[in-house]
Amino acid sequence: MSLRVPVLYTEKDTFMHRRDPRVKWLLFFLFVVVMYTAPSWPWMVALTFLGLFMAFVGRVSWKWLLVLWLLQLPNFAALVIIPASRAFLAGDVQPFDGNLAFGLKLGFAWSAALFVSISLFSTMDVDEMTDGLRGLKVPEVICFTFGYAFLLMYTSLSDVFRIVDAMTVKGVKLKTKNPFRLVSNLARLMVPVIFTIVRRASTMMAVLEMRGFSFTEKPNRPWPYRFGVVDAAVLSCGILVFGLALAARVGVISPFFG
Amino acid sequence: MLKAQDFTFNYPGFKRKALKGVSFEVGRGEVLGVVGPVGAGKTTLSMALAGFVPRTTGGESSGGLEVAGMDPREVSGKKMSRHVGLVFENFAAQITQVRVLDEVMSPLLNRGVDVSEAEERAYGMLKKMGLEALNPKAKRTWELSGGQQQRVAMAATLVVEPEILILDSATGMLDPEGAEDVRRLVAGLAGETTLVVVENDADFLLGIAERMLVLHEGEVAADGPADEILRDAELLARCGGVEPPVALRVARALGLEESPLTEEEFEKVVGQVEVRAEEKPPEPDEAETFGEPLIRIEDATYRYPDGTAAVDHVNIEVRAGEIHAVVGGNGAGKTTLAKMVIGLNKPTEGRILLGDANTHEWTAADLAWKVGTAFQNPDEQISERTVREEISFPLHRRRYESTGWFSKKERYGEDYIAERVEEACELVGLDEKYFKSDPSLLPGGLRRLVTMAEALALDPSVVLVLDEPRVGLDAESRRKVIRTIARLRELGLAVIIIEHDMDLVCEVADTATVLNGGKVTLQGPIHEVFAEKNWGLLTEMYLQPPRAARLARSIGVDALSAAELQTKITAVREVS
Repeated sequence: MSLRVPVLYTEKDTFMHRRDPRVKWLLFFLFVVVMYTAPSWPWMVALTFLGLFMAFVGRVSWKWLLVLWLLQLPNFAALVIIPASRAFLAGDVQPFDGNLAFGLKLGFAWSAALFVSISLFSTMDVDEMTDGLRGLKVPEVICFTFGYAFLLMYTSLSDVFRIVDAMTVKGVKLKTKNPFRLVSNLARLMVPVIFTIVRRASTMMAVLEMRGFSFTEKPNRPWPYRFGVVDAAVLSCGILVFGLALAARVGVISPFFG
Repeated sequence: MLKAQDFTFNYPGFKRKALKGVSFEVGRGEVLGVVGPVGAGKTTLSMALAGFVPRTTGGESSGGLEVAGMDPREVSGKKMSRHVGLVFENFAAQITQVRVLDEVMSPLLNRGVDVSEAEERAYGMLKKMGLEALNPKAKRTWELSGGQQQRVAMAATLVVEPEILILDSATGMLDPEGAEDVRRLVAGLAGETTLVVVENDADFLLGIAERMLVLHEGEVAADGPADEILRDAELLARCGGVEPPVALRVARALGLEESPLTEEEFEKVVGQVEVRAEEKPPEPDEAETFGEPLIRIEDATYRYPDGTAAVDHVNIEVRAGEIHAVVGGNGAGKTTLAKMVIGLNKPTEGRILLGDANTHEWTAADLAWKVGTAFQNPDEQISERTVREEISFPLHRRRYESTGWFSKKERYGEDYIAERVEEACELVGLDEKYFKSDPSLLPGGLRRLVTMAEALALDPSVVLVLDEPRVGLDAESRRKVIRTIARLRELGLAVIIIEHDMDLVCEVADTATVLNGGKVTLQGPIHEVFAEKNWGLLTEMYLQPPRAARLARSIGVDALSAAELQTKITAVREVS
């Protein structure tokens, strides 16, 4: 038995979890558009807070968020600190303008993207995500591939953990301070990982076919869609934010939203 | 219902034909048993009947093949899947969904069955397979044990009630009661469903297969009534890679001419039995038989992060020269316990002592010097290009000892490594001719022996852990594993085996621990644990008494293995 496979979905019953998966996908797509439409970095700060609020409502583990955000920290530092220090050394300090403003926009955009997407996707399990895509009339071949990619990732991770165990016993240390040794040892894992995956691939395809899965035909949906008034309201909020960002972009309202 | 006429197939890139001129016929509702050694073409035949060969594998085929009135090579996979269900040996590759219930429901939903009906049928099938207690709605499929995954795969195949069902070595990972459930299920389906049961366990096929096909190097070595073929011990041994049914084995060992298959036939053939009182082995004084304790598991508990105890306050002591079996149903905690012994899981409570040293601070790599391990699936262990490199790998990794930032000391040289590799191969019976072969491409039985030799190459002075050593092996490889275990006992090692095959356990083990839900339910010498008074309890824990023991009981003899039964009885032929 293995409980070690990290899964994106968190099984809880929150306001975010109860939303229709199609609405979550639409919010995600709207969010991506807003990111490109919003004209300035304060927009990104606002979206970051919105993402944090959504994460709070969806009771996403703060440890997960912190770890994922820390992984982005080098990017953030490179985008904000380097232009700021350049400007400072040149004696041309213009806070929140020029390169620094661009750096802030990008840095906060990344944070916002992380928080919003985790809040949306950690509240849908794989079937809900795939089901949501089907509900939006996305071609079945994409829906099937998307759902199956997640499953393959989870099952392969389970295999990889077992292989890591076996290789550890053989003397391949994956906890080493020497980066060269780490890379060489990781390469050692490749042979059993590839063989295990290749050996299972033909069986897996055969099993999928036998269970009646199809790249082209939609399966019977196990859950009814649950689009309600609250979902409509949430979607309206998303559309409103997009409208505001667009208005700011074309100059109808202040680009700063301030 | 099934018909092959001179069917030949070879995989792309291989000169050797996987199937050569195979011909047979199976009528509607008949049960065909297929046996053969590793590499005989059993899986290829199963896949060809289900329509996957050559469609998904590539390769060339010739000759006739007819399944439910269709040539599987000419119709779509979707059409074939409406008629044929196939359960593979590889349990992990049959998982297609995140949750257990979805796995069993999805084939129904994909065939247009209403959601509520699909759920009801899925629950019913999971109950039949003994999985209802798993919380199928929430349980993730990759959190199941190998045996549980196999049961789920079987449930997902059976739930759509296929006209033709093919079981390709599908019971290898199941606990004895699970295998017996499948046997009962097959027996229940016979007559209505056409069944092809690929199995190297002759006793499993007994009574359910009406016809038998013996495959050998891709060709049909024999085809006929199961009753006749199963009685032909020489044929099974020569071509089938199969151990004859236990009754027949004992009869042959006793020099009887008759070929009994069942307990009833055995009783009739043996007729009168004399227990050789003088040959009854004296109860050994355990303290004298075994050496000092080499490993002690003291009050060991392992909890998952969610607090579930996979292993719960377990105490085991294994002494030098002792073979200790850890048995239990699927998901009983056996593999988790083994992982604690080899240092991959640290006990959350209790301790594990090697001699007097607590292993808590040792890494798994450090422990491997003293505790050798052969994992359940050899594919997850093999990483090198040749057998020699694979077996010597742990020695090469440990050849130098780091003595500082830029300095190291040689522990041993190439000569020592070569010597150890040869000794380990000799011990497991692995021929030198395989040294240059790619271990990943060897048949399953040989891959298992390679990983056993690899575990022994470090010369573990204390203990060897073997996780399901019998799975996927044919009769010859099984015998080699048994011989190896016996030699390890002679060398004074402590061996822990985790096994579902109760006959193998009783053949090789001295003592046993029965786990159920992570807790020790029975423990002691093998004769105590498997004593007749415990048979009811064993069955409750998804285990079964060994077949040899049941056979022995049928003639009033107390014996656990075929060898013991032989030594205890003298058959006196009835004089008419």
